Amino acid sequence: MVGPNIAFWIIALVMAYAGVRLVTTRNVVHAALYLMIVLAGTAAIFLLLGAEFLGWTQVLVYIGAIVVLFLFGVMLTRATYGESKGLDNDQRVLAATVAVIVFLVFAGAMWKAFGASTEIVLEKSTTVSELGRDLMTNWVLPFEAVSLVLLASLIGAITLARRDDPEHVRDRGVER
Amino acid sequence: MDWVDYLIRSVVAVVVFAAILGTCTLLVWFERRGAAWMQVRVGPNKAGPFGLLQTVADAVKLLTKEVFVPDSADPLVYRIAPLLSLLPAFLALTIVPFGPGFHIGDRYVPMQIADLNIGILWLLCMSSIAVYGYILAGWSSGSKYPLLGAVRQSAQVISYELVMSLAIIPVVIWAGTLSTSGIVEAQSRYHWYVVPLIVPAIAFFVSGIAETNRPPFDLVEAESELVAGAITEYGGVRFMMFFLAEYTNIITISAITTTLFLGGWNGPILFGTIAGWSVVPLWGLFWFLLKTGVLLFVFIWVRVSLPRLRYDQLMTFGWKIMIGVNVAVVLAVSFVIALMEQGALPMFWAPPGR
Amino acid sequence: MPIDAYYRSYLQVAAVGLLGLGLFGAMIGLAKVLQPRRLSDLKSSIYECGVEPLGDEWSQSQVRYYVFALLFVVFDVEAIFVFPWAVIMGTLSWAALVEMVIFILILAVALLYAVRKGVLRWI
Repeated sequence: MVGPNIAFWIIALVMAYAGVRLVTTRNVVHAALYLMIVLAGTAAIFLLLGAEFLGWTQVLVYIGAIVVLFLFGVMLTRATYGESKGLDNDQRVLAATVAVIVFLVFAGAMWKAFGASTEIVLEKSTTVSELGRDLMTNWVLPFEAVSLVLLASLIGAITLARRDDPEHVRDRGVER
Repeated sequence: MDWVDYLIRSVVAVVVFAAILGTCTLLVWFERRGAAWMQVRVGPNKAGPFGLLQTVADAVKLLTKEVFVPDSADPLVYRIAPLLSLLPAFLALTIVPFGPGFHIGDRYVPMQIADLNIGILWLLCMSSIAVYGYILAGWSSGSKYPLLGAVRQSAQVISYELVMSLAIIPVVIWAGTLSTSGIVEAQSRYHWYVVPLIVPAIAFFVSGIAETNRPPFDLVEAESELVAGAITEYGGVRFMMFFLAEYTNIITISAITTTLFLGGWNGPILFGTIAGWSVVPLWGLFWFLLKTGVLLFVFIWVRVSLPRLRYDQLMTFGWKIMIGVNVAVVLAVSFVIALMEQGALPMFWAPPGR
Repeated sequence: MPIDAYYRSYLQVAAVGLLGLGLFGAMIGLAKVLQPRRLSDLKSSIYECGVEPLGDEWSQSQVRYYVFALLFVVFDVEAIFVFPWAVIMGTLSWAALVEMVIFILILAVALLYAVRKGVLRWI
């Protein structure tokens, strides 16, 4: 299969470029857009590997929700048009070290799993029903834990953003 | 698969694409002429018979406007934003089965551009990408009112996207598949899903109206009060693209409502052959277009009839009523299906083959 | 789905994407050919109901939009987890139904909490 390999390299190069631009651009919204490209590339690689549901989940959750959340955050705080100052800091050496270590760990894991093979060998794509059956039988506990994680994150979000003004008190049925 | 099959599929794609553009033109005309008719006005009547060429004239006018970028805009993002609105609008229609596939000789002609395994989730993905069209249009304009409009609009769209996904889940439970053609097949064996799933059907259509920013949910670009929301700074051909995307989205919502709840291309076949040729697939196309057309009419009808909501009403309605009711419906439907599986309820409403 | 048919279905989608891109390019190209070219400072300034733009080009949005986006993330993830279950729901045992009911109820509690705390109240 040559096609998927070519597609992989194109996606990988686009992702690498967008990743570099993501950290070098001076504009917050542009950075969010480059992040969106990187995430879309990840989704494309999932699709390429036959993980259809996972790929589109990536689009729905990360591109459709998380980056929108980032953009809302940018609209909320005072990000100016054009270049923003103060987006840079002195941690470059540390960041580079961490990046190299993470790269080595991932590369090692992949080498251990696949060796020198560069072929994508797939018979069929994973269907949603297979995924669902697996989720409901083998992974029930993590699945239920997810709902608790979501609940906790929601409570956290509400606690952070809640206003305790008189209107609220009234909303809870207590007279001012 | 050889080149003939690829050719057939390309022709289907091009025909669908042309049909979308044509329907958009007609829809814009009907929006104005039909609204005028409902409001006892005359409406556009100069260009062509019944003013039918009015949309074409408008398109030509917009195409001959100057293409420029405002000084304070972010040039690149400003140029990309219309594409991010237009492209998902077209792509969302690829999963709609317009009719039953048929054979010419031994060649199979599908009446659907792509039958994705992920099926109906594709619609949600495309609408989540389309949010960027607005949010980036508003931000990149470099103007404060479009920015406000963009945030308001995207908050509205994501809220109702949630309602939409919750309204789809009962259909998926009932049909046991995500594939749009599979859902239509399941409805052809028994009943249309609008019968047992009337609440999700209404919720889906209403959230579709909200997703496309149509009245009574058009409070971001309330034409008579605010200017045009996120796309205030857009003019000429770029404005036309947002316009085209909006109308394509209306067609998509109508077509997908038909597919999910109104039986898709299912309908009575009144006669089978004309001069020895089988016309059965054409009946499928006919019933599909008829149902979609009725829903398009409802879009315009609702626009003419209902007053605009306030933003707080919109959000309260979406989050408290729509989401609450739909979560309850998901639970109820799964219990009903489970009871039918156990034989505690007659299989009256479930498709056979379960 | 066999991998060949799977890749092919996405090639068909990509073809429509290319058609859309082509339309985008054609529309912009046509407009660039047909357009008059008479730029002026006033024309390329932003629109504020006819008067000259006042103040900053930035407008701060309110925190409640951010809260709704956060809520959206949480419930979007919930909806996505429900889909794989919904596809095979009819073939599963009662245990799976109970698992999902617990999952949904926990998040219904989250929604109820949000309602009670008044964050879903606009104004």
